[in-house]
Amino acid sequence: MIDSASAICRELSATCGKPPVIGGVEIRHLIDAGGMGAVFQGIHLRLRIPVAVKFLFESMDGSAARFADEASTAAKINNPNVVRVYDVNKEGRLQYIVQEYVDGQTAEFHLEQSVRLQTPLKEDWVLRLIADTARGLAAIHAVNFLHLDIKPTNIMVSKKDSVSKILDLGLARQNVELPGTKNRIADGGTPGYASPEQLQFLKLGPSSDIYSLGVSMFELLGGRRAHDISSWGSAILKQTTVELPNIRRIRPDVSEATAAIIERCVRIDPEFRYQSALELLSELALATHAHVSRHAPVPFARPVKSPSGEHELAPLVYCVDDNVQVCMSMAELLTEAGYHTEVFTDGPRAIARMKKTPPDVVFLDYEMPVMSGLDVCRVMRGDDALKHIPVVFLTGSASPDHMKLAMHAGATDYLFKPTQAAELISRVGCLTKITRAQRELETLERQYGSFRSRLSTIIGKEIL
Amino acid sequence: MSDPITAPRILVADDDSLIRELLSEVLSARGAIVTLAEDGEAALREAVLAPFDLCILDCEMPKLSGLEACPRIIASACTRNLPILFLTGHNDDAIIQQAFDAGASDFLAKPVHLELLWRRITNLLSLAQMRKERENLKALLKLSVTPDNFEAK
Repeated sequence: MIDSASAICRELSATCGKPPVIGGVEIRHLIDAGGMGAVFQGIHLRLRIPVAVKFLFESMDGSAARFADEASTAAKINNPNVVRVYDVNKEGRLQYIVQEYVDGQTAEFHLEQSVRLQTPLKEDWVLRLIADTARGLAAIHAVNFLHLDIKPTNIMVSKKDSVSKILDLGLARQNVELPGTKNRIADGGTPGYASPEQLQFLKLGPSSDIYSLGVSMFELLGGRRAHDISSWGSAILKQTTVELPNIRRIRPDVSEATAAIIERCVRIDPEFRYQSALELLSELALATHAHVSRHAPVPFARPVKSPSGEHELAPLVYCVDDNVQVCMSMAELLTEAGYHTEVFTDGPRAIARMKKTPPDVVFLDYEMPVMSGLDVCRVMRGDDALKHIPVVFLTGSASPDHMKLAMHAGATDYLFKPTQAAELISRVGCLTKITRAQRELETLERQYGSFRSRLSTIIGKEIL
Repeated sequence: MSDPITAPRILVADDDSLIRELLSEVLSARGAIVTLAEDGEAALREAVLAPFDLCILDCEMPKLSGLEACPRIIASACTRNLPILFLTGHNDDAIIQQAFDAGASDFLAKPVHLELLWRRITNLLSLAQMRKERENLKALLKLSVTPDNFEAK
């Protein structure tokens, strides 16, 4: 009888070679084992990606059929917030699902850690996690399924980018109302998280998953279990009669918007909850936004002034236009917005200056005597030191030919005269981001290059 | 023809069916994979269900306007860095500021110049690409053990 992780290991090494390979996946090590099965990390040999392989323990209760259902359900869903399923199979006595490997921890792990360290999880972090999960739920609901087992242990938070993904669609059911059966679910769900209607075998819907998500949100923010229960009996007794308290009574620093969202998720009567994951997501987004902007107003298109003042270099902008009036008014606007600005009335002088001190953005007039804007742009694009600097053309005519020629000469952007302040400043704001990213990238590439060459000298051969 | 792997996936939300058709045709011709939405709510729904490389939002739309939809679209961790390009009806400083406050990455005033639109799109895509590479390199450098404790497997 295969009923434990060690039994699976024995079976694997007995039948699948060493290292064990099953279904094209080389099994590496055990990640987690539960009541139903065990999950291993492996490498998919043909796709050459890490995968998770979930093996099912042998039992008599028809869980095998459900296991295949789970895979087939999950395979219909292609969403970054739901763990992707690649394959399901049975080889000998081993039944398994090959799925996306997420390098990270479950929300439950983060919750336990926060309790242990007595540092509550940040509201913003929790809001993002719940928003991600709501996105995943929306995708599950979109193919007309219900998850029915949303809880912190089934939400995986990736270490790399903190994206959360829904795990374990073992209980997922098609959300169709069969006459007479009322969409009943005889087994499964987790007491404490299962919605009141799930506990009472009543009609289920998307709002049943919303309830479970609301309970998870309550626990992550509150740092404790929402319902203090251990059995199905006490769950039915409590969850169907007592509404959860307001989270602010447990954790006063949670925002009112967030508290209101939780309250609406966990109402006993499904009618009073959000009716869809999208509706919840909408509200969450606003709470997140309110939360973020309350703490850190995001100034746009203006250079960020560092607290210390002088050390942060404001982006440098060159304006090249043969009309002195135009030059001066642009310079005035840009200086007021916090940019360093220099003006030039002809191309050759501008280029000479650029070679000495490369700017972050250049504004070029289209028509100029001596050197036209096109000529200046071509020279810049042909020069290694200047070719990455964004160039914005300014022109009085709306001729599409002018624009085409400018783009062909290497223009990054294009503005029509007369230009409005917001238009001008936002161009600089957007384009300096490109210049900055480019420079950072170059620095990092240099660092990486030197790291690799140091490494090569140590190993004594070229590394890839 | 667009390459399904490298082609940028662009979500276009505009309530004017003519503009939708036009943008769909023009962007597809340049090799993008285009998804259309007729209002802000539809855009939010699409953005939730599939990953995109860029999103073009009209400022004024029924149900959810672009300004209302934008913060909702970029609220999750997966869409935090999704570039959003606004199409603004009038060249109005206040609207532009509102768009940036809502999380816009850039904007373009109507009437839309297609050549310029494509240039702004490619600028945003290349910025996103550079940032991605930057994060990759940072991660690599962080992972890279110093030569002193490097161990060959």
